[in-house]
Amino acid sequence: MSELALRRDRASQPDEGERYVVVRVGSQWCAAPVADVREIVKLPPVTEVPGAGDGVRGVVLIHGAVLTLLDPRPLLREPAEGDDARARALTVDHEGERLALRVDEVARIMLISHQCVEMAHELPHATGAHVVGVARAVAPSPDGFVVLLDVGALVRAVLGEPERFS
Amino acid sequence: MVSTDASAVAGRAAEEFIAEAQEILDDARRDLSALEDSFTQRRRGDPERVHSLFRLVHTLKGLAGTFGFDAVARVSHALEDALDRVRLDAALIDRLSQAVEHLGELLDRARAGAPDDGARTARIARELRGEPLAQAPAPIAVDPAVLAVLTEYEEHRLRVGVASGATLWRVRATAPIDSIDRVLEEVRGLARSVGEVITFVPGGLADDGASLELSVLVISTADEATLQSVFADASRSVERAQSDAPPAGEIVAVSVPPPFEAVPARALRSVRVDIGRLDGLLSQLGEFSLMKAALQRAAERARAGDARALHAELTRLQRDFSRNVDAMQRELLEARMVPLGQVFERVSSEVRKLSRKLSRAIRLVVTGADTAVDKLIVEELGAPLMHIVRNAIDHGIEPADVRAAREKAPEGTLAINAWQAGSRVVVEVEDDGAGVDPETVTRKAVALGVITEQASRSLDRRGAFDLLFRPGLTTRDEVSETSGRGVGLDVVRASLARLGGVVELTSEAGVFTKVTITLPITLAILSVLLVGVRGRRYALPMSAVSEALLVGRDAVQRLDGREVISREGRTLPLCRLDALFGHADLESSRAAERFYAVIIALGGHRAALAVDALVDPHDVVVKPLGRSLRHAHWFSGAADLGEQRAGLVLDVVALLDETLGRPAVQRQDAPP
Repeated sequence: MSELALRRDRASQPDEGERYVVVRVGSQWCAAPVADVREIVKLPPVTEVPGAGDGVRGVVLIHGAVLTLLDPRPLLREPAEGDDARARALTVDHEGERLALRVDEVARIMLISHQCVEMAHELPHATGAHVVGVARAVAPSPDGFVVLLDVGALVRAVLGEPERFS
Repeated sequence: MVSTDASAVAGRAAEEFIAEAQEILDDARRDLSALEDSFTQRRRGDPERVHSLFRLVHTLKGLAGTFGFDAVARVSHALEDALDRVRLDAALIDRLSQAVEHLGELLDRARAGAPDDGARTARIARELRGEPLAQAPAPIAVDPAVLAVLTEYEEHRLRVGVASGATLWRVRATAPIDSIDRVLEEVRGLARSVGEVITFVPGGLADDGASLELSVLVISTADEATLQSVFADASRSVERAQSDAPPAGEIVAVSVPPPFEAVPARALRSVRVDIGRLDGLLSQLGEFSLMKAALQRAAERARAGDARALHAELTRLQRDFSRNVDAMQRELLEARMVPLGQVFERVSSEVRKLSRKLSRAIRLVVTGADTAVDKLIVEELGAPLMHIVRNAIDHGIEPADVRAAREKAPEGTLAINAWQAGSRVVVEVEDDGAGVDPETVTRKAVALGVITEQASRSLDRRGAFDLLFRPGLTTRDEVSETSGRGVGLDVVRASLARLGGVVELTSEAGVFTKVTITLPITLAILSVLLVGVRGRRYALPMSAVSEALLVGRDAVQRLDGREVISREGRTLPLCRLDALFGHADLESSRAAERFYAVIIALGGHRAALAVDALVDPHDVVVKPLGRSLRHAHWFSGAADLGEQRAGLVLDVVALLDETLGRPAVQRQDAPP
C-alpha cells in the first residue's frame, strides 16, 4: 500500500489497522500487506537462470506454473546466502505476471495498528520507494521493529525497473 | 465509469468475437479463392461457393451486431446484399475480395483498439450496393415448424426457389447413429440431381431405439413421381412440405406434424476440435477411472501386507497409466493442430490485392497447404509470411516490360511450398523475379554502417544474404507503399525466432529469390535432450540436435580466436555452455579432459555445444518465461523436469547466434 493510501486509511479509520504478513528477510523483519500476497508456500527447489539479473534468484514450479523467484535480500542490503530450511515463497501479481518473492521465514499474519506506524517521510533518512514506513512493538521482531513494504515498489526495485509516481 | 469486471467481461467477449470472426474470414477467403478459380477456369461461378460465402457473411453480420462491432456489421450486411443478387463476373469478385480484406482490417483495428476508417467502410458498402436490390419475396405457404428452423439465408433460398416455380419437399430418412453422416451425404448427393438442399434437421430416435430420423428439405421443380423414384426406398420417404395456395405477399405458416427441433446455432470457439477426438479423450478418461479403482485395490493389498500381489498390481497400473498419458498427450497435441492452408488463404488474398495494385500478373502456386501445425504457430506465422510475400512481389517479380526485356514469361510465379521435416515444418517462398546480388547487399551494408569494410571482406555468399535480416538494411533506393523502408526482415527474423524458428534467404541475381522458414510443429510439447552442465540440467530441443559425440580436449582447435571442432570435413564453432552461463571460467572449462559435443543444426547453420553429461531424451510441456526474465535470452521457456524442479529449455536460435557471432535477436514476450 502506498504511503498516501496508508495515510488516507489512517485518517478515515483512526482506530483500525491493516493486516500484514510479517516475514524475515536476512536479519530484518518486514511486513507486506495481506492484500498484496496471493499465497505463501514452502520454497520449492530453485533453478537458477543465467543472465537473468541480480535480483532474480531463478525460477520455481508452483502448482505447475513456472514463476520467477525474486530475492529481495540484495535490495535490503542483506547477504544473499543462508539456510533455505525455513524459507518461503510469497506469490504476488505484478503488471500481469505472477511472481514469487523469497523470504527467510514467515512469522504470522497480524493486524498492525496505524498508531504504531511511523511513515517513511518521518524517518531520519530517505528510503527507497519500497519502504512505506516502520511499525513498532510488533512481535516476533526482538525489538518490535518491522519495516512495512510496498510490494509493487519492491518488485520494481528488485527487477531494476524505474520507480512510478502516482 | 465501467467497472473493472465489466471491462474484463467486455474484453473477453470482444476477444471471442475477433477469434470467431477471424475464422469466418479465413473460410470466406477460401470460398472467394475457389470462386475466382472456378470463374477463371469455366467462366462461371460455383453456386455452392456463393451459398457458403453468403452463410459465412450472414453469421459474421449477426455476431458483429451482437457484439456491437458496427462497421463490421455494416460491411457484412452490404456484402450479404451483393451476394443476394449475385451475377458473377471478375469485377464483382474483386469487389467481394476488397470487402473481405476490409473486414480483416476492421478486425485488426478492433484488436488494436484503433478507430474504424469510416469513409472507407462507407465507400466499400456503397460499391457493394451498386446494383438494385432483389425483387420482393415470392409468397409461399410453409409448415411453421419448417420456418422455425430456417436461417434467414435458408429462408431466402426457399423464397428464390419457390419464385422460380419449385416446390419444397421433405425427404425423411432413418439411419443408424454411427452412419448418419454417410446417409446424410447420400441424400444430399441425390438431391443435387433434382434440386437444391435447403437444410437438414435431425429428428428423434427411431422405433428401434438405435437409429435416428433425419429430415432433409429439398426445393425442386421435379414432380412427385420423379422424386419418389430418386429418393424413396426402404429407409427413405418423400412428402410435400408446402401447400398450394398461399395468400399474396407473405410467407404463411401451415401446420404439418411432427414439429422439428431447432438446429443448434454456431457456437463461439477459438479452436475447432473434431468430435471424434473429444470422444477419444473421454474414453481415455474412462480408463483413468478404472485405474482409480485399481489403485484402491492396491491400497487394500498394501494394508493386507500382500507384497507380491501389490507389486504386480502397481506394475500393471504404471504401464496402463503411462500408455494412457501418452495417448492423451498425442490427442491433445493433435487437437491444437491446424492446416497451414489457413494462413496461406490470407497470403493468397494479399497476392491478388498486390497483383492488382502493382499491375503485375502473378501466378501463385501453393503446395503443402494440408501440413498441420500448432494453431498458435499458424496465427503467429501470418504477419512474417505476409511480409516476405510483399517483398517478393514488390522487390522481386518485375513489371511485364522488364520481364519481356529479360526474356521471361510475362506472368511472374510465386511459389509457396510447405512440408513437414521431422518435428519441424519448412515453408519456402520462392519467386522467379529479379533476385538479389550479394555484392550489392554487402556494399550497401558497408555504406549504411551495418558492417565494417574489413568485416565485409570475409563474408561468404550466405553471410551476405544474412545481412538482409539486420535492422535498417534495404537494397532499395526508394521507399514504396508496400516495402523498402528497411524495416521488416529484421522484424520477420525476430518474430520467427520468438516461435523457435529460423529464416534464410538464397538467391541468384536475375533468376530467383527463395526465403526458407523452419519452425517447430508445436510449441506446447517438446522432445528434449537433457544435458548436464556443471551439475545443472538444461533441456535442448531434440528437433535441433543432429548428433552428440564424446570429444577429447585435443580435438578442439582455434580459428580466429574462436574454438572450433571438425566433423565430417566441416569446421563447427564450439560453444562452452558452462563458461557462457557463468558456471565456470573459460580456463577451467578448457581444462576438462573430455566433454560431450552436441551438434545443433537449424536451417543450414551448425554449431557444437560443449556439455558435461547427456540424459535420455523425453517429452516436456514447455511453459513460457515471464516478462521479468526478458534479459535471459538463452532460454525459450521452462518445463517441469520432475522432483518439483523447473528446467530451462535452451533457445537454439539464440545459441546459434552466439556461437556463429551473429547479433542476437531481442527476445520479445512469449506468445500467450
